[in-house]
Amino acid sequence: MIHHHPSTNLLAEYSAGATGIAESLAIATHLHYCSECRQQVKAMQQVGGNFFDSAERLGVSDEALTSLFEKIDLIESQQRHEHCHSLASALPQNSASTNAIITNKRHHQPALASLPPVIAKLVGNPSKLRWKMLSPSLKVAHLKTGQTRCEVSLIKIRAGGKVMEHDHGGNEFTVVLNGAFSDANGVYKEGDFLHKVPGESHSPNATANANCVCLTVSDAPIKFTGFIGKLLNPFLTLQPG
Amino acid sequence: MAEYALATSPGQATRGNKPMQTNVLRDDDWSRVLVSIAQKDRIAFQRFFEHFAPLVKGYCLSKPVPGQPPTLADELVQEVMIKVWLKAQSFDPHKASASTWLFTLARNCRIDLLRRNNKHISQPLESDDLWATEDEQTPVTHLQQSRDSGVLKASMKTLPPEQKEILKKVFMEGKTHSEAAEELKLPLGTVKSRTRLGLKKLKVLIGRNVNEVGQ
Repeated sequence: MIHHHPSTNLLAEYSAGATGIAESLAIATHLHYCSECRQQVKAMQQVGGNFFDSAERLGVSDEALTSLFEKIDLIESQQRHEHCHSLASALPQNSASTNAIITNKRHHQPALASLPPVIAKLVGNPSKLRWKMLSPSLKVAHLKTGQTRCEVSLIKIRAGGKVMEHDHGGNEFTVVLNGAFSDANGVYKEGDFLHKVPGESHSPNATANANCVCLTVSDAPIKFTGFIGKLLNPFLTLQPG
Repeated sequence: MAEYALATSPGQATRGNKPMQTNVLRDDDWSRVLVSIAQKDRIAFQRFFEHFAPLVKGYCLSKPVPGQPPTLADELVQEVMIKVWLKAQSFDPHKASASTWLFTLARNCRIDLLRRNNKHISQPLESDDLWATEDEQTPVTHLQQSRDSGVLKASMKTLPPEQKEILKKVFMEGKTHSEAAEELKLPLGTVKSRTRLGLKKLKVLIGRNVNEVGQ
Protein backbone atom coordinates (compact mmCIF):
# COMPACT_ATOMS: atom_id res chain seq x y z
CA MET A 1 0.00 0.00 0.00
CA ILE A 2 1.44 3.32 -1.08
CA HIS A 3 0.94 6.25 1.27
CA HIS A 4 3.02 9.04 -0.19
CA HIS A 5 2.05 10.46 -3.58
CA PRO A 6 2.98 13.39 -5.85
CA SER A 7 0.85 16.50 -5.28
CA THR A 8 -2.19 17.20 -7.46
CA ASN A 9 -0.33 20.12 -9.03
CA LEU A 10 2.69 18.03 -9.91
CA LEU A 11 0.50 15.31 -11.45
CA ALA A 12 -1.34 17.97 -13.48
CA GLU A 13 1.95 19.37 -14.82
CA TYR A 14 3.09 15.83 -15.62
CA SER A 15 -0.18 14.88 -17.35
CA ALA A 16 0.16 17.98 -19.51
CA GLY A 17 3.74 17.05 -20.44
CA ALA A 18 5.08 20.21 -18.78
CA THR A 19 7.48 18.58 -16.32
CA GLY A 20 11.12 18.10 -17.30
CA ILE A 21 12.64 14.72 -18.11
CA ALA A 22 14.14 14.18 -14.66
CA GLU A 23 11.01 15.07 -12.66
CA SER A 24 8.93 13.03 -15.10
CA LEU A 25 11.21 10.06 -14.46
CA ALA A 26 10.49 10.26 -10.72
CA ILE A 27 6.74 10.52 -11.36
CA ALA A 28 6.72 7.70 -13.97
CA THR A 29 8.59 5.52 -11.48
CA HIS A 30 5.98 6.20 -8.80
CA LEU A 31 3.18 5.49 -11.32
CA HIS A 32 4.72 2.07 -11.96
CA TYR A 33 3.81 1.17 -8.38
CA CYS A 34 0.70 3.30 -7.82
CA SER A 35 -2.55 2.47 -9.64
CA GLU A 36 -4.36 5.29 -7.82
CA CYS A 37 -2.10 7.94 -9.35
CA ARG A 38 -2.27 6.20 -12.74
CA GLN A 39 -6.04 6.62 -12.62
CA GLN A 40 -5.57 10.25 -11.60
CA VAL A 41 -3.25 10.93 -14.53
CA LYS A 42 -5.72 9.30 -16.91
CA ALA A 43 -8.49 11.55 -15.61
CA MET A 44 -6.28 14.62 -16.00
CA GLN A 45 -5.38 13.61 -19.55
CA GLN A 46 -9.09 13.83 -20.36
CA VAL A 47 -8.83 17.53 -19.57
CA GLY A 48 -6.00 17.66 -22.10
CA GLY A 49 -8.20 15.85 -24.62
CA ASN A 50 -10.95 18.38 -24.11
CA PHE A 51 -8.68 21.36 -24.64
CA PHE A 52 -7.18 19.59 -27.63
CA ASP A 53 -10.64 19.45 -29.21
CA SER A 54 -10.90 23.22 -28.95
CA ALA A 55 -7.42 23.93 -30.33
CA GLU A 56 -7.17 26.41 -33.15
CA ARG A 57 -7.59 24.58 -36.46
CA LEU A 58 -4.64 25.40 -38.67
CA GLY A 59 -4.59 24.50 -42.33
CA VAL A 60 -2.66 21.38 -43.33
CA SER A 61 -1.67 20.89 -46.97
CA ASP A 62 -2.98 18.03 -49.11
CA GLU A 63 0.63 16.96 -49.68
CA ALA A 64 0.83 16.13 -45.98
CA LEU A 65 -1.68 13.32 -46.42
CA THR A 66 -0.01 12.08 -49.62
CA SER A 67 3.34 12.00 -47.87
CA LEU A 68 1.78 10.07 -44.94
CA PHE A 69 0.39 7.40 -47.24
CA GLU A 70 3.83 7.09 -48.83
CA LYS A 71 5.37 6.57 -45.40
CA ILE A 72 2.71 4.03 -44.49
CA ASP A 73 3.39 2.12 -47.74
CA LEU A 74 7.09 2.09 -46.89
CA ILE A 75 6.52 0.93 -43.30
CA GLU A 76 4.19 -1.84 -44.43
CA SER A 77 6.58 -3.13 -47.06
CA GLN A 78 9.38 -3.12 -44.46
CA GLN A 79 7.15 -4.99 -42.02
CA ARG A 80 6.36 -7.63 -44.63
CA HIS A 81 10.07 -7.97 -45.29
CA GLU A 82 10.93 -8.29 -41.59
CA HIS A 83 8.11 -10.75 -41.08
CA CYS A 84 9.54 -13.07 -43.78
CA HIS A 85 13.00 -12.57 -42.36
CA SER A 86 12.02 -13.44 -38.79
CA LEU A 87 10.14 -16.53 -39.97
CA ALA A 88 13.24 -17.68 -41.80
CA SER A 89 15.64 -17.18 -38.92
CA ALA A 90 13.11 -18.13 -36.18
CA LEU A 91 15.22 -16.40 -33.56
CA PRO A 92 13.53 -14.80 -30.56
CA GLN A 93 13.75 -11.03 -30.58
CA ASN A 94 15.71 -9.56 -27.72
CA SER A 95 13.88 -6.60 -26.30
CA ALA A 96 15.60 -4.20 -23.94
CA SER A 97 13.46 -5.35 -21.03
CA THR A 98 14.18 -9.06 -21.38
CA ASN A 99 17.85 -8.22 -21.62
CA ALA A 100 17.60 -6.27 -18.39
CA ILE A 101 15.95 -9.18 -16.61
CA ILE A 102 18.60 -11.62 -17.82
CA THR A 103 21.47 -9.41 -16.74
CA ASN A 104 19.81 -8.74 -13.39
CA LYS A 105 19.61 -12.45 -12.69
CA ARG A 106 23.17 -13.05 -13.72
CA HIS A 107 24.58 -10.43 -11.41
CA HIS A 108 22.82 -11.54 -8.24
CA GLN A 109 21.85 -8.11 -7.05
CA PRO A 110 18.47 -8.88 -5.54
CA ALA A 111 17.80 -5.21 -4.73
CA LEU A 112 18.14 -4.35 -8.43
CA ALA A 113 16.36 -7.40 -9.82
CA SER A 114 12.87 -5.96 -10.18
CA LEU A 115 13.32 -2.36 -11.25
CA PRO A 116 10.51 -0.47 -13.01
CA PRO A 117 11.09 -0.78 -16.80
CA VAL A 118 12.07 2.88 -17.25
CA ILE A 119 14.75 2.60 -14.53
CA ALA A 120 15.94 -0.76 -15.88
CA LYS A 121 16.35 0.88 -19.30
CA LEU A 122 18.47 3.68 -17.80
CA VAL A 123 20.56 1.35 -15.65
CA GLY A 124 21.23 -1.23 -18.36
CA ASN A 125 23.60 -3.70 -16.77
CA PRO A 126 23.40 -3.19 -12.96
CA SER A 127 26.92 -4.52 -12.47
CA LYS A 128 28.22 -1.57 -14.51
CA LEU A 129 26.75 1.00 -12.11
CA ARG A 130 29.52 3.01 -10.48
CA TRP A 131 28.62 3.22 -6.81
CA LYS A 132 30.36 5.96 -4.86
CA MET A 133 30.48 5.67 -1.11
CA LEU A 134 29.40 8.91 0.58
CA SER A 135 29.35 7.54 4.11
CA PRO A 136 29.53 4.05 5.65
CA SER A 137 25.76 3.66 5.17
CA LEU A 138 25.23 5.57 1.95
CA LYS A 139 26.22 4.82 -1.65
CA VAL A 140 25.29 6.79 -4.75
CA ALA A 141 25.35 5.90 -8.46
CA HIS A 142 24.59 8.64 -11.00
CA LEU A 143 22.32 7.93 -13.95
CA LYS A 144 22.51 9.66 -17.33
CA THR A 145 19.10 10.88 -18.46
CA GLY A 146 19.98 13.35 -21.22
CA GLN A 147 19.16 16.66 -19.54
CA THR A 148 21.23 19.37 -17.89
CA ARG A 149 19.18 20.67 -14.97
CA CYS A 150 18.88 17.87 -12.43
CA GLU A 151 21.09 15.27 -10.86
CA VAL A 152 19.52 11.81 -11.15
CA SER A 153 20.88 9.00 -8.98
CA LEU A 154 20.21 5.70 -7.38
CA ILE A 155 21.03 5.74 -3.69
CA LYS A 156 21.53 2.74 -1.49
CA ILE A 157 21.19 3.01 2.29
CA ARG A 158 22.65 0.01 4.11
CA ALA A 159 20.15 -2.02 6.18
CA GLY A 160 19.73 -0.18 9.47
CA GLY A 161 22.00 2.62 8.22
CA LYS A 162 21.39 6.29 8.77
CA VAL A 163 21.96 9.28 6.47
CA MET A 164 23.27 12.40 8.22
CA GLU A 165 20.71 15.10 8.89
CA HIS A 166 20.46 17.34 5.83
CA ASP A 167 18.43 20.15 4.32
CA HIS A 168 17.61 20.58 0.61
CA GLY A 169 19.04 23.31 -1.60
CA GLY A 170 16.15 22.99 -4.05
CA ASN A 171 13.59 20.41 -5.08
CA GLU A 172 14.39 16.81 -4.32
CA PHE A 173 12.18 13.94 -5.46
CA THR A 174 12.71 10.47 -4.01
CA VAL A 175 10.98 7.23 -4.96
CA VAL A 176 11.64 4.07 -2.95
CA LEU A 177 12.52 1.15 -5.26
CA ASN A 178 13.38 -1.50 -2.70
CA GLY A 179 13.33 -1.82 1.06
CA ALA A 180 12.12 1.04 3.22
CA PHE A 181 13.38 4.03 5.16
CA SER A 182 11.91 6.33 7.75
CA ASP A 183 12.42 9.85 8.97
CA ALA A 184 10.67 11.96 11.60
CA ASN A 185 7.64 12.32 9.30
CA GLY A 186 6.94 8.69 8.48
CA VAL A 187 7.92 5.40 6.90
CA TYR A 188 8.50 5.20 3.15
CA LYS A 189 8.14 1.88 1.38
CA GLU A 190 8.38 0.59 -2.16
CA GLY A 191 6.74 3.06 -4.56
CA ASP A 192 6.37 5.89 -2.06
CA PHE A 193 7.10 9.37 -3.45
CA LEU A 194 8.68 12.23 -1.51
CA HIS A 195 9.11 15.83 -2.58
CA LYS A 196 11.43 17.84 -0.35
CA VAL A 197 12.01 21.59 -0.69
CA PRO A 198 14.42 24.00 1.04
CA GLY A 199 13.76 24.15 4.78
CA GLU A 200 12.63 20.54 5.01
CA SER A 201 15.56 18.81 6.67
CA HIS A 202 15.51 15.15 7.58
CA SER A 203 17.68 12.24 8.55
CA PRO A 204 16.57 9.10 6.69
CA ASN A 205 17.09 5.74 8.36
CA ALA A 206 16.86 2.47 6.41
CA THR A 207 14.87 -0.29 8.11
CA ALA A 208 16.99 -2.95 9.75
CA ASN A 209 16.05 -5.96 7.61
CA ALA A 210 17.14 -4.85 4.12
CA ASN A 211 19.13 -2.33 2.14
CA CYS A 212 17.02 0.51 0.84
CA VAL A 213 17.40 1.56 -2.80
CA CYS A 214 15.82 4.81 -4.00
CA LEU A 215 15.72 6.96 -7.09
CA THR A 216 16.52 10.59 -6.33
CA VAL A 217 16.15 13.60 -8.58
CA SER A 218 17.41 16.98 -7.35
CA ASP A 219 17.92 20.39 -8.88
CA ALA A 220 20.35 21.58 -6.18
CA PRO A 221 22.79 19.86 -3.83
CA ILE A 222 21.68 18.83 -0.35
CA LYS A 223 23.11 20.68 2.67
CA PHE A 224 24.20 18.74 5.71
CA THR A 225 23.10 20.46 8.90
CA GLY A 226 25.26 18.77 11.58
CA PHE A 227 28.72 19.95 12.63
CA ILE A 228 30.69 17.34 10.66
CA GLY A 229 28.24 17.52 7.80
CA LYS A 230 28.73 21.27 7.40
CA LEU A 231 32.41 20.63 6.73
CA LEU A 232 31.37 18.42 3.80
CA ASN A 233 28.96 20.91 2.21
CA PRO A 234 31.59 22.75 0.09
CA PHE A 235 32.34 19.42 -1.61
CA LEU A 236 28.74 18.72 -2.55
CA THR A 237 28.18 19.86 -6.10
CA LEU A 238 25.30 19.04 -8.39
CA GLN A 239 26.15 16.66 -11.21
CA PRO A 240 23.29 16.99 -13.67
CA GLY A 241 22.94 14.50 -16.48
CA MET B 1 -18.58 4.83 -45.10
CA ALA B 2 -22.10 4.91 -43.66
CA GLU B 3 -20.76 2.87 -40.75
CA TYR B 4 -19.18 5.94 -39.26
CA ALA B 5 -21.27 8.65 -40.85
CA LEU B 6 -20.38 11.88 -39.15
CA ALA B 7 -22.51 14.85 -38.25
CA THR B 8 -20.51 17.19 -40.46
CA SER B 9 -17.96 16.67 -43.13
CA PRO B 10 -14.57 16.59 -41.41
CA GLY B 11 -11.85 18.80 -42.76
CA GLN B 12 -14.16 21.63 -43.77
CA ALA B 13 -13.97 23.56 -40.54
CA THR B 14 -10.57 25.19 -40.64
CA ARG B 15 -9.66 28.62 -39.33
CA GLY B 16 -12.40 31.19 -39.82
CA ASN B 17 -15.34 28.81 -39.78
CA LYS B 18 -17.88 28.85 -37.03
CA PRO B 19 -16.92 26.71 -34.01
CA MET B 20 -20.36 25.06 -33.99
CA GLN B 21 -19.41 23.03 -37.02
CA THR B 22 -16.71 21.13 -35.16
CA ASN B 23 -18.55 20.81 -31.86
CA VAL B 24 -21.40 18.71 -33.20
CA LEU B 25 -19.03 15.80 -33.86
CA ARG B 26 -19.33 13.18 -31.15
CA ASP B 27 -16.43 11.39 -29.50
CA ASP B 28 -18.05 8.03 -30.20
CA ASP B 29 -17.88 8.62 -33.95
CA TRP B 30 -14.15 9.24 -33.84
CA SER B 31 -13.64 6.24 -31.58
CA ARG B 32 -15.27 4.09 -34.24
CA VAL B 33 -13.09 5.66 -36.91
CA LEU B 34 -10.02 4.78 -34.81
CA VAL B 35 -11.20 1.19 -34.49
CA SER B 36 -11.43 1.07 -38.30
CA ILE B 37 -7.93 2.52 -38.58
CA ALA B 38 -6.71 -0.31 -36.36
CA GLN B 39 -7.98 -2.62 -39.11
CA LYS B 40 -5.83 -0.68 -41.59
CA ASP B 41 -8.77 1.12 -43.20
CA ARG B 42 -7.18 3.94 -45.20
CA ILE B 43 -10.42 5.78 -45.87
CA ALA B 44 -11.04 5.95 -42.13
CA PHE B 45 -7.48 7.23 -41.70
CA GLN B 46 -8.08 9.98 -44.23
CA ARG B 47 -11.22 11.12 -42.41
CA PHE B 48 -9.39 11.11 -39.10
CA PHE B 49 -6.53 13.07 -40.63
CA GLU B 50 -8.80 15.67 -42.18
CA HIS B 51 -10.47 16.34 -38.86
CA PHE B 52 -7.57 16.07 -36.43
CA ALA B 53 -4.43 17.15 -38.35
CA PRO B 54 -5.42 20.86 -38.15
CA LEU B 55 -5.93 20.43 -34.37
CA VAL B 56 -2.55 18.72 -33.95
CA LYS B 57 -0.97 21.65 -35.78
CA GLY B 58 -2.83 24.14 -33.58
CA TYR B 59 -1.71 22.24 -30.48
CA CYS B 60 1.92 22.31 -31.61
CA LEU B 61 1.94 26.02 -32.34
CA SER B 62 0.30 26.85 -29.00
CA LYS B 63 3.78 26.31 -27.53
CA PRO B 64 6.00 28.48 -29.69
CA VAL B 65 9.70 27.95 -29.10
CA PRO B 66 12.21 30.71 -29.89
CA GLY B 67 14.10 29.87 -33.04
CA GLN B 68 11.68 27.10 -33.89
CA PRO B 69 11.71 26.29 -37.62
CA PRO B 70 8.37 27.10 -39.29
CA THR B 71 8.14 23.49 -40.49
CA LEU B 72 8.07 22.09 -36.94
CA ALA B 73 4.27 22.03 -36.70
CA ASP B 74 4.01 20.14 -40.00
CA GLU B 75 6.66 17.69 -38.80
CA LEU B 76 4.61 17.10 -35.67
CA VAL B 77 1.50 16.44 -37.74
CA GLN B 78 3.41 13.79 -39.71
CA GLU B 79 4.81 12.11 -36.62
CA VAL B 80 1.54 12.10 -34.70
CA MET B 81 -0.45 10.77 -37.63
CA ILE B 82 2.05 7.97 -38.34
CA LYS B 83 1.69 6.97 -34.68
CA VAL B 84 -2.09 7.00 -35.07
CA TRP B 85 -1.74 4.49 -37.90
CA LEU B 86 0.76 2.31 -36.04
CA LYS B 87 -0.81 2.45 -32.58
CA ALA B 88 -4.53 2.51 -33.35
CA GLN B 89 -4.68 -1.15 -32.28
CA SER B 90 -3.81 -0.13 -28.71
CA PHE B 91 -6.77 2.26 -28.59
CA ASP B 92 -9.61 0.93 -26.46
CA PRO B 93 -12.83 2.92 -26.99
CA HIS B 94 -14.11 1.77 -23.60
CA LYS B 95 -11.20 3.34 -21.77
CA ALA B 96 -10.42 6.61 -23.50
CA SER B 97 -12.00 9.00 -25.95
CA ALA B 98 -10.34 9.51 -29.34
CA SER B 99 -9.40 13.08 -28.35
CA THR B 100 -7.77 12.05 -25.09
CA TRP B 101 -5.85 9.27 -26.78
CA LEU B 102 -4.69 11.64 -29.51
CA PHE B 103 -3.77 14.28 -26.92
CA THR B 104 -1.38 11.83 -25.22
CA LEU B 105 0.18 10.94 -28.59
CA ALA B 106 0.61 14.59 -29.60
CA ARG B 107 1.94 15.52 -26.14
CA ASN B 108 4.64 12.85 -26.37
CA CYS B 109 5.58 13.68 -29.97
CA ARG B 110 5.84 17.38 -29.13
CA ILE B 111 8.14 16.61 -26.19
CA ASP B 112 10.40 14.45 -28.38
CA LEU B 113 10.44 16.97 -31.20
CA LEU B 114 11.42 19.84 -28.90
CA ARG B 115 14.10 17.72 -27.21
CA ARG B 116 15.54 16.68 -30.56
CA ASN B 117 16.34 20.34 -31.24
CA ASN B 118 18.90 19.98 -28.46
CA LYS B 119 21.18 17.75 -30.47
CA HIS B 120 24.35 17.80 -28.40
CA ILE B 121 23.02 15.59 -25.58
CA SER B 122 22.33 11.92 -26.17
CA GLN B 123 18.83 10.95 -25.14
CA PRO B 124 18.63 7.54 -23.49
CA LEU B 125 14.87 7.86 -22.95
CA GLU B 126 11.96 8.49 -25.31
CA SER B 127 8.87 10.33 -24.14
CA ASP B 128 6.96 7.03 -24.39
CA ASP B 129 9.22 5.64 -21.63
CA LEU B 130 8.18 8.46 -19.33
CA TRP B 131 4.58 9.16 -20.35
CA ALA B 132 2.45 6.10 -21.02
CA THR B 133 0.10 6.34 -23.99
CA GLU B 134 -1.27 2.82 -24.04
CA ASP B 135 -4.21 1.89 -21.90
CA GLU B 136 -3.80 -0.19 -18.84
CA GLN B 137 -5.09 -3.72 -18.94
CA THR B 138 -7.03 -3.16 -15.73
CA PRO B 139 -10.76 -2.63 -15.28
CA VAL B 140 -11.93 0.95 -15.28
CA THR B 141 -12.90 1.61 -11.71
CA HIS B 142 -13.05 5.34 -11.22
CA LEU B 143 -13.88 6.36 -14.73
CA GLN B 144 -16.72 5.30 -16.89
CA GLN B 145 -15.42 6.78 -20.08
CA SER B 146 -18.67 7.24 -21.97
CA ARG B 147 -20.38 8.98 -19.06
CA ASP B 148 -17.44 11.03 -17.90
CA SER B 149 -16.48 12.59 -21.19
CA GLY B 150 -20.00 14.04 -21.37
CA VAL B 151 -19.79 15.33 -17.79
CA LEU B 152 -16.39 16.84 -18.49
CA LYS B 153 -17.55 18.61 -21.65
CA ALA B 154 -20.49 20.08 -19.80
CA SER B 155 -18.50 21.23 -16.78
CA MET B 156 -15.86 22.77 -19.05
CA LYS B 157 -18.50 25.33 -20.03
CA THR B 158 -19.10 26.36 -16.42
CA LEU B 159 -15.42 26.75 -15.59
CA PRO B 160 -14.57 30.26 -14.31
CA PRO B 161 -12.45 32.04 -16.95
CA GLU B 162 -9.45 32.52 -14.64
CA GLN B 163 -9.30 28.78 -13.95
CA LYS B 164 -9.77 27.91 -17.61
CA GLU B 165 -7.00 30.31 -18.60
CA ILE B 166 -4.50 28.52 -16.38
CA LEU B 167 -5.60 24.98 -17.26
CA LYS B 168 -5.23 25.96 -20.91
CA LYS B 169 -1.69 27.26 -20.33
CA VAL B 170 -0.78 24.00 -18.61
CA PHE B 171 -2.54 21.46 -20.84
CA MET B 172 -2.32 23.11 -24.26
CA GLU B 173 0.88 25.10 -24.03
CA GLY B 174 2.60 22.55 -21.78
CA LYS B 175 3.69 25.23 -19.33
CA THR B 176 4.73 24.50 -15.75
CA HIS B 177 2.94 26.39 -13.00
CA SER B 178 6.01 28.62 -12.57
CA GLU B 179 6.05 29.50 -16.27
CA ALA B 180 2.30 30.18 -16.21
CA ALA B 181 2.71 32.37 -13.10
CA GLU B 182 5.44 34.39 -14.77
CA GLU B 183 3.50 34.88 -18.01
CA LEU B 184 0.27 35.83 -16.30
CA LYS B 185 2.06 37.92 -13.64
CA LEU B 186 0.36 35.99 -10.86
CA PRO B 187 1.79 34.57 -7.63
CA LEU B 188 2.74 30.90 -7.98
CA GLY B 189 0.37 29.97 -5.15
CA THR B 190 -2.56 31.48 -7.08
CA VAL B 191 -1.70 29.45 -10.18
CA LYS B 192 -1.49 26.28 -8.10
CA SER B 193 -4.77 26.80 -6.30
CA ARG B 194 -6.60 27.80 -9.50
CA THR B 195 -5.34 24.63 -11.15
CA ARG B 196 -6.65 22.50 -8.29
CA LEU B 197 -9.97 24.36 -8.13
CA GLY B 198 -10.38 24.04 -11.89
CA LEU B 199 -9.68 20.31 -11.83
CA LYS B 200 -12.09 19.90 -8.94
CA LYS B 201 -14.77 21.81 -10.82
CA LEU B 202 -14.21 19.50 -13.79
CA LYS B 203 -14.69 16.55 -11.41
CA VAL B 204 -11.46 14.86 -12.41
CA LEU B 205 -9.86 14.72 -8.96
CA ILE B 206 -9.98 11.23 -7.51
CA GLY B 207 -10.01 11.18 -3.71
CA ARG B 208 -7.80 14.24 -3.48
CA ASN B 209 -8.11 17.15 -1.15
CA VAL B 210 -8.33 20.33 -3.17
CA ASN B 211 -6.91 22.30 -0.24
CA GLU B 212 -3.72 20.26 -0.07
CA VAL B 213 -0.67 22.39 0.39
CA GLY B 214 0.70 22.55 -3.12
CA GLN B 215 4.37 21.91 -3.73
